[in-house]
Amino acid sequence: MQIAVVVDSNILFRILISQGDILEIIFNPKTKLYAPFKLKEEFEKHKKELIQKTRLSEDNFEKLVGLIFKKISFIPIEQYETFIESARRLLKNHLKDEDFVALALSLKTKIWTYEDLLFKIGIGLSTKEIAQKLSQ
Amino acid sequence: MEEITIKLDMPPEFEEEFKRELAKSIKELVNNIEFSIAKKIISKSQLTEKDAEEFSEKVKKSMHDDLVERGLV
Repeated sequence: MQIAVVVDSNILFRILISQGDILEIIFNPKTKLYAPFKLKEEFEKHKKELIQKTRLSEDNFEKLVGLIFKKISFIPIEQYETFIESARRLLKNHLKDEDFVALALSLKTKIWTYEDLLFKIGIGLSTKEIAQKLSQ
Repeated sequence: MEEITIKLDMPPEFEEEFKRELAKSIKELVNNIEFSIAKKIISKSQLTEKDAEEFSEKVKKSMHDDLVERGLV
């Protein structure tokens, strides 16, 4: 069984500290991962700071990011912008996550996240839930 | 890099099936190797949960601001 999910930024950055379930899900051939293209751009914008904080060599950091980004399809906003309004309605006063929710709505899938609100509105999937689905 | 050559005596009628299975196994092998490399690199990372959360929040704010600029929210 294939599982398609949108990857939240809080998962993407946690990959850099996780050797466990998160990494196993990323490399599981049964997962199909998506994220807004803007997330990739933002990640790259913070590259220098990330290298500093991870204390990895630039070479190792680039290698790691290359391996992880190969597993994620980054989708340009033009492909899901018509869902932004529906995302805003779902998120109400929560002034972030519109990109992730809109992308998930457009793909008819859920978001792999740690964000409490996304679970409350029924669109969040935890690492544990995904790991369980993959082991079935 | 070391080169490994494997010779198999393959009956012609199984050639296509063999190629398919070989491609599948190589894909799996490459994935496993990439997973091991990623795991090894991450084991050296000094990033903390707090750092990861801070980066995530910064990025989300910037993504939201971009939508505002585009007039989408």
